[in-house]
Amino acid sequence: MSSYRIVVKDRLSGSFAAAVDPAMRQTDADGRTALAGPLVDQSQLVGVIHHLHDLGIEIIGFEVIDDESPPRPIGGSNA
Amino acid sequence: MTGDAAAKLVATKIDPPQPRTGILRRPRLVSRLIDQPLGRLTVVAAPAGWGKTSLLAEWAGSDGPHTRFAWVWLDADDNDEGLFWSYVVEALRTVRPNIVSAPPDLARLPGAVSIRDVVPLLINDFRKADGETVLILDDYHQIATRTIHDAVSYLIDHLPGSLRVVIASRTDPPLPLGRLRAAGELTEIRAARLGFDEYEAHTLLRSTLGLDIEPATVRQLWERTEGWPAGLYLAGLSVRDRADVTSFVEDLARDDRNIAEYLAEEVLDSQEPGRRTFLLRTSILDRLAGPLCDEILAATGSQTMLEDMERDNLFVIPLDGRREWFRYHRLFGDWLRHELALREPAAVPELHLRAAWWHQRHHSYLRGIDHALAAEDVGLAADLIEEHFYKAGYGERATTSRLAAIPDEIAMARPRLALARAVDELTYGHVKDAAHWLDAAEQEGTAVGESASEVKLLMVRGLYHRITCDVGRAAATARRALEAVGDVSSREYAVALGQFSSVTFWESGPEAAIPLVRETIRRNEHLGLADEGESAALAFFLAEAGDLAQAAVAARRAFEAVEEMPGSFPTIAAAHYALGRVKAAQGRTEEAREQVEQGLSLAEDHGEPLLSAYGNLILVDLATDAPAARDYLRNAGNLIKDLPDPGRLREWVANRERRFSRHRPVRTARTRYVEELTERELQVLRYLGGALSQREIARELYISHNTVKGYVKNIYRKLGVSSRREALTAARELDLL
Repeated sequence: MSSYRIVVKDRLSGSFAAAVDPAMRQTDADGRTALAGPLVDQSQLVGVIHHLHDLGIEIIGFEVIDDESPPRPIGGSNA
Repeated sequence: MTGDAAAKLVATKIDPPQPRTGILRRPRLVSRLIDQPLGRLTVVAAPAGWGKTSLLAEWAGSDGPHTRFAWVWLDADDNDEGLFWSYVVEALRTVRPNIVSAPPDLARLPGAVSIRDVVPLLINDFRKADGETVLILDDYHQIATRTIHDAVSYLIDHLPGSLRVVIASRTDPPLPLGRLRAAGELTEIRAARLGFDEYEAHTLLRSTLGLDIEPATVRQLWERTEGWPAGLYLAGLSVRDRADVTSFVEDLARDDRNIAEYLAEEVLDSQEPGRRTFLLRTSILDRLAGPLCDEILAATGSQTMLEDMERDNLFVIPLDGRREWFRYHRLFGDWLRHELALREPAAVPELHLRAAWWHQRHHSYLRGIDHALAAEDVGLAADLIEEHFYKAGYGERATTSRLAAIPDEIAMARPRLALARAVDELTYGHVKDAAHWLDAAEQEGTAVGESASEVKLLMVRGLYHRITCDVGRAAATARRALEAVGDVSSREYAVALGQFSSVTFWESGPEAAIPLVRETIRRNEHLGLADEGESAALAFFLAEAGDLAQAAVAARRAFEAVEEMPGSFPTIAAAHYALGRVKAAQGRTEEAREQVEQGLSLAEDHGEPLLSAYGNLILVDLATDAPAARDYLRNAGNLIKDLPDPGRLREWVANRERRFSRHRPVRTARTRYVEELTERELQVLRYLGGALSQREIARELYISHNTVKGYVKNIYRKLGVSSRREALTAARELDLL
């Protein structure tokens, strides 16, 4: 199981991640939202990406995070 | 609702989109599609809500009278090849009845028709066609089956000028787009072009939705949505009943929230509570009908609600002219489901359960199974699979993934479900797994004493023995099945009799089988069932019994039965054998051999070792020289040597072997007799001159790898060589290349 962080364009409501997967957390920074959390495998990851794509939400960033530390702010260098 | 409403749902799969209100016309884009030449493939690729379907619908509605549009709405179930191609053929046949031949029942028991042959036949049909036909495959992103992509790709590569393929998809289809693009054969319409310009945004909001809105406000919305049609539409619905439009839009423009989420919530929350609940709770349905909605909401008046919402342009799309079935616009429906999961997560399983019950009552089991699984009620799902399996007959498919959703230990304990698993495994040629499930079905069946399933169990067991070429057991089981059927006038009895007559040939020979197959044909006629397979079998048995005149009649009847249908019929292989015998008796040896070879390649393609071995035996009888005859005899021997019980074939092979051991001819030196190569062999030979492997040649010719191997073997034998290089040298010497 790996942790992933997906950054989407625009800000999503605070409860958004809960409807995608209970294990997902979300943080906002610079008018963007990052969804992060552990996903079982690639299939689940693709499922999440499809969920976002189906809702017309644009994905602008993606990374695999091995540690469980909270997501860093997105956009600026170290805001 | 009438009982067959659920059946009519299937028709909505290929009906063109119903005319809708509240849609902006896009002359700029449509004229691109009408006026300029299209590539072989047109891809309309964009995320949800970019107006892909609307654009195609407008094109279909405004193109000239010579262009016809065949529409297929794909969903996840269409990952079954048989279903996919039967919808495509049916859609094309609906708009071009004179061009496309009647479709065989592709979705039925596989092996009845080779799907692989459908595409070449479609291509052939359109080669001689006038006028242009556009095949629209909508929601193609639902397809994940590699073999379907391969066949679509083949269709595109060999497309005649009178046919065009259009794919609408949320994601790029996994087809060789790069190659088509480079060849100038790909027309692409993507989000950037689908987006509204400011003028179109203006027209949508002011004229189509009838809003009194300032140009500056339109501009703000257009910029904020970046021309995304669904976003503009949602925005239009949100401001429709507001007094403070200008300030609402200014706030929206400044806000950094995701516009779709914001507006979907906004539109939802501005509905009166009854309608809001309706929208949220019915979002679990991918198709909506008034009575179905009433059921899951435990309410009444859903039909009126649906029609009102359609009139209010609330993303409710009618699927038929009678307003019986609807669906939500996909994007809106996805957002509704998302909101439902947030607002009422506890209600979701209950809603799915009610939907499952409704579908169960209306015999639309597949959807019922999906809802039961979504409700995580495995027991109900298992019940529904069993009902589906027993009521729809074991020809019905598209249940594999659903069967797999039931844990093995549950399926093991339910004889009917275990039997359904066995049939599914047999269908895909997984003989070992099929045996495992059959054993389970038999054990549990006797324990529970379910006599209702006994006939079916025996028939499937018989089929299993026949497929594994265990002739003695197959015959015994078929006999028991026949005895177990109570009603001799039933369809089941006719099917059991058909099984029994076929296996009797292998067990006892043609004389015993002939009266049985005649009786099967009589019963099938009475029941109105197709009987090309039985006619072919009768022809074959008669020919082997020496009654060639009657064999010719029966063979002709078998060929006539399949003449109108595309696809190849493995069941017809036996009729080719019969015709081969007839022609041989008339002294037309080359024609005779071609018939038998044709039958043989059908039998080989469909994994019929008994029939393949027999084809080789006929070729032994027709062979003009001893080495060739010996080769065929060896083939036959190899085919049966590892079979559990090939019945009388062993003796028939042995008889011919004895004949050859008595007349061992002296090989004459250097008089190379070259048997004439058939058209197909010459074709394969030409490919051998190129760089393709046998597997690649098979793909190129759209036949199986084994068939190519067979041709190559024949070529080597006829040329008296043993390698590709020698074959090419010999072919050049003989001026065959």
